[in-house]
Amino acid sequence: MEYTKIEGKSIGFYGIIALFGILIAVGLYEFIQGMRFGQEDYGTSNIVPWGLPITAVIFLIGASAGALMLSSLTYVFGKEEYKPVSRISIFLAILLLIGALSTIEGELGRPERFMNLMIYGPQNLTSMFAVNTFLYGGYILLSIVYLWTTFRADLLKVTKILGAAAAALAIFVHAGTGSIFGFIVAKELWFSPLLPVLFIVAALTSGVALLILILTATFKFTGRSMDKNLVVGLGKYLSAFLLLQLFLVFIENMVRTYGGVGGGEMTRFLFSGPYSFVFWGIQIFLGTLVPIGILMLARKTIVTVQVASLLAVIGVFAERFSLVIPGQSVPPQQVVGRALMGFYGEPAIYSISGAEFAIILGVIGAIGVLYLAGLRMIKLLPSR
Amino acid sequence: MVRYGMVIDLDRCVGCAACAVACKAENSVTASTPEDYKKRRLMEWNRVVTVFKGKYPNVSASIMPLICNHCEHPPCVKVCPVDATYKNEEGIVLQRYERCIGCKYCMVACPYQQRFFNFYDQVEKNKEEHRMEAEKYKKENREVPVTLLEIPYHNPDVPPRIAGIVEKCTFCRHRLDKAKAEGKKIGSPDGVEPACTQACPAGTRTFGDLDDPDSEVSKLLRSRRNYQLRADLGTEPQVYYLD
Repeated sequence: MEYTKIEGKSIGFYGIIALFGILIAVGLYEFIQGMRFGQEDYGTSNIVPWGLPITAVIFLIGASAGALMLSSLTYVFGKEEYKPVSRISIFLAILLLIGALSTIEGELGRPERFMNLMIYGPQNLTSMFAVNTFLYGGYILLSIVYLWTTFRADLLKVTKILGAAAAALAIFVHAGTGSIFGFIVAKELWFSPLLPVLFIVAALTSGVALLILILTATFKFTGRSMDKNLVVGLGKYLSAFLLLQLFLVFIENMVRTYGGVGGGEMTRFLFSGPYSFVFWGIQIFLGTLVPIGILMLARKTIVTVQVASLLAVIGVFAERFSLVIPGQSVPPQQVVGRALMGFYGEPAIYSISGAEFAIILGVIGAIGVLYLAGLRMIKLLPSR
Repeated sequence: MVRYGMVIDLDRCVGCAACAVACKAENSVTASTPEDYKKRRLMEWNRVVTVFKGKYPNVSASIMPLICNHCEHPPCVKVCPVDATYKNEEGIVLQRYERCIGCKYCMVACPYQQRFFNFYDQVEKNKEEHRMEAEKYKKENREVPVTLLEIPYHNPDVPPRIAGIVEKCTFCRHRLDKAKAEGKKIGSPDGVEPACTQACPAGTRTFGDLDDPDSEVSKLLRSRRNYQLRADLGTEPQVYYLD
């Protein structure tokens, strides 16, 4: 199979780059404001210290891990039919993880001290965050080498080994991300051994769905023909991951409702609190049941798979949101069996602030510019 | 080995919140504005809450002062990615302000919500507010009060906290360090104590060395039934409650 660069000289190309540039400018502006004045503009509080950026971070890491695992279909399992999209999915995996790391950087209270993670991280390896710092670093390096070997026809064996290693590391990376939440005993919705597994499945869902969306769009804009069987095949994987994800969410919530550690207060908040529409409406109905229905019942065309992918991406993002935000909202009991009275016992309502949204927009812009630059400078797309 | 802890006798607590005020003054904790209250950004190293059980008319409620529990197995120390939070050799959980990157992981990990994020530079913010206030007086040709001419009081013994980092109760470590340097006795009833313990008008709090069998805290714990907050989480708090 032949790969080419894109021309990248049309007005449309520069137009999209300019659009992404505006997003970057907005994000950078808010980031610098945050560095100067602290996070005063953020929607976060002392009850909900993690807001929308953390939701975006775990979504991006998930999508990255999913995309990398998908590339192993070709390079490890030898499924030649997915070859047109495998190389670019490695590239996207790298970009999405870089995007996730920049979002973390924008979310830190003191971004200029991020090097402390490298310097002091090894001193406290009981912190999943510190462990993950090194996992992410290794993951990016390994993916870059892996991407490079796919250009060398003489290194087929090495590609296979590296692909398997990268997929395995992707599993660990995302399980590690899940463990950031899963190890926290203080939060009823987080403390669960199932969470890392759920994270991996959600990673595969969002990875495949996001790839379908980005690649069909890229192929269309660059005038390449997308093989219908390839998209439908990816859609089959997507429906399998969606079903598995639905099953895991069901099991986990069954355990929570059966009787939890923290008295079930946070679970009730998730099911019937102010964010319940995100859980029931967006995550379960719109993001899981509807795309499963479309993929199973509707006629299998590129458009239906695209619609299902879009809904699945939204659904996974909603799943992240309803984990992160309602998971923190309810102030924990101080004495077992006794509730806090008045102000201190009320759940904190997190509202998305413009500053946090701007940082995410900036990251999306950066990913977009890097993606377009990569298409122009590296032979990533098949020539047809 | 020294292992400082506190015993809080809820039978004596009257809920006056003198401990909360004393803590704010002693540690120069940022004064919270009504805006902060609405946004749930209160900085309260020490707060007094009411816990209750049951429904009216069958309710039992009790007033409870809450501080950092200085757990034996602190979840916040376990999760810190830069080793900024640590448990010192005297059993106090402390924060290295100069190392904290503000990831807020410790805040979500703490089951007691005893960690607070600095949304702005505390001293600077007060300075600006004071300047504005003073200007108002000047405009109206009134005499500016002395309190507005000086920068807000900051206890020189405690380090200032910049925006973007997490802070917490230190068991008034600066007091303990000073006492040690001067060779004074530490612990209730006649030694140096944290500000909240000293300020309590009802003698609710007792501070001392949990490892010393002759200390006041050990005697209290031996003599009465006691419990720790959320002992089911395995954090082993070093703050005990008597009821």
